Amino acid sequence: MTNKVIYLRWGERYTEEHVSQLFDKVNKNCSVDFEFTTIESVHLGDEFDLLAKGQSSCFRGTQDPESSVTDNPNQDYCREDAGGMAHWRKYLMFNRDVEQFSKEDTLLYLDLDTLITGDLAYFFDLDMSKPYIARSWQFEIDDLWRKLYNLRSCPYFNSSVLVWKPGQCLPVFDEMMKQYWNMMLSYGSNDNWLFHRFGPHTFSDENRNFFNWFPEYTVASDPRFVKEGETIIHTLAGLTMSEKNKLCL
Amino acid sequence: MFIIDDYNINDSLVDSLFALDENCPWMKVDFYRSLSKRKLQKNMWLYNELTNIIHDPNIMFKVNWLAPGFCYYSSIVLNKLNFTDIKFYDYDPSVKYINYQSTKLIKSANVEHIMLDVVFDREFVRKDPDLVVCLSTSSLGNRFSELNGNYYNNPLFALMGSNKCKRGNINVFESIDKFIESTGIKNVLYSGEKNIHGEIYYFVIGHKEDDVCYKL
Repeated sequence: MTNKVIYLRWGERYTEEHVSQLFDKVNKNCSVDFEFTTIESVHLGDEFDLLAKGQSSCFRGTQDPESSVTDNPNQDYCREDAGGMAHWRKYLMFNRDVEQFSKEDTLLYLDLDTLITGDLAYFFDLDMSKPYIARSWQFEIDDLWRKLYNLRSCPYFNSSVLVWKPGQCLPVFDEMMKQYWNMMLSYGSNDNWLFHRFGPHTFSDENRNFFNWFPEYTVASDPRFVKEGETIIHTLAGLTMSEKNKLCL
Repeated sequence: MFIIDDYNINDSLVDSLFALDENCPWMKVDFYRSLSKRKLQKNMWLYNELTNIIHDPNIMFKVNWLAPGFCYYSSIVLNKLNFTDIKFYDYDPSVKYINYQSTKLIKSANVEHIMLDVVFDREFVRKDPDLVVCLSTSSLGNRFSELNGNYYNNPLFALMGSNKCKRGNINVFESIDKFIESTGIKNVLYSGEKNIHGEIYYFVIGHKEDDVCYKL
């Protein structure tokens, strides 16, 4: 069994420098053996072609569709409503993982703009009866996620940090491919889609509460939820690229 | 003419407000907005045009109402149209607590609230309704014709879309023709547009197929 730390990089937004910086942070903050790697095959294949085509056909904005925030305030639709789901490639990992890793491996995915402030060994010592995903706890404040649920734009899951076993998240990949066109039309962000289709309110008994999530403060995506001594990862989801680069490069 | 003539609607509203306070106070703003003049006008428009088309209310029983949100006005419309088998489909579970109270008004009908996403879970939507209503197709995507494809009895559709880009609208329409095209409705029995408080709504009633006998 090996502990794998996985990153993905595509497009021009992130560079080799981001990869190198992430490796350094992981290396300094992981007390157990690990292998730092990527999954190249998420950028290839029939599924990739279908999803890329879906993204370009369904995106109704005038910005980079791979950004999960509204970069261009002049576009008609805000990012969440503009279709063409940002970061869909992450879910191709759930199909390609079994080709590359052994079933006993534990996979920890980190976004390239992740800040690490504690020991990553925590993530390799979890009960893996279910996969894990980060939650954006700030959306608990004032019940914001519930208010946004009917707009399909409740970014309550945060796929910046995922832990799973190879093959364990195949249902997410299958659901994505089954309805990829509607997904690309209806959702602007992968995490919004995931929360609606695999969160606490989804219609399917099998998919409902598919993920476990890390305790409050362990993975934070808002400075208000960063706690010294408790927070292991601070993700920068929701920030613009220039804001992210200031913090992580 | 749409006339409110049943005093029970007051009880229904009060019970809805209690349910709101007890079960989902985070929905207060949304619920108050659902009582707006704009929403009432949309429902009155629906009622008036349906009564022009459905001449005999005793031959249509089953209605699927897609993505209704809060059902207070919807329940008044359906009560007046005498539908007896009503299924509301909405994916936000918060609304059901309130809608149970709002729809108490339709005492003589079998009313069910089913919490699913009518786009993604469409295989679980009833296949043989007499009428399908959706007043918010702009929040459901631009392939409504695909959603229509699941019904096997060529029901009557009453669908509204919007021209306005606003939060939650993922597909807006430039004209009534574009809207009708998106619905897949071939046999149009009514179509029209209205400017309601600065937002243009498109409304079409009709059938997808034009070669069968209809219940009307």
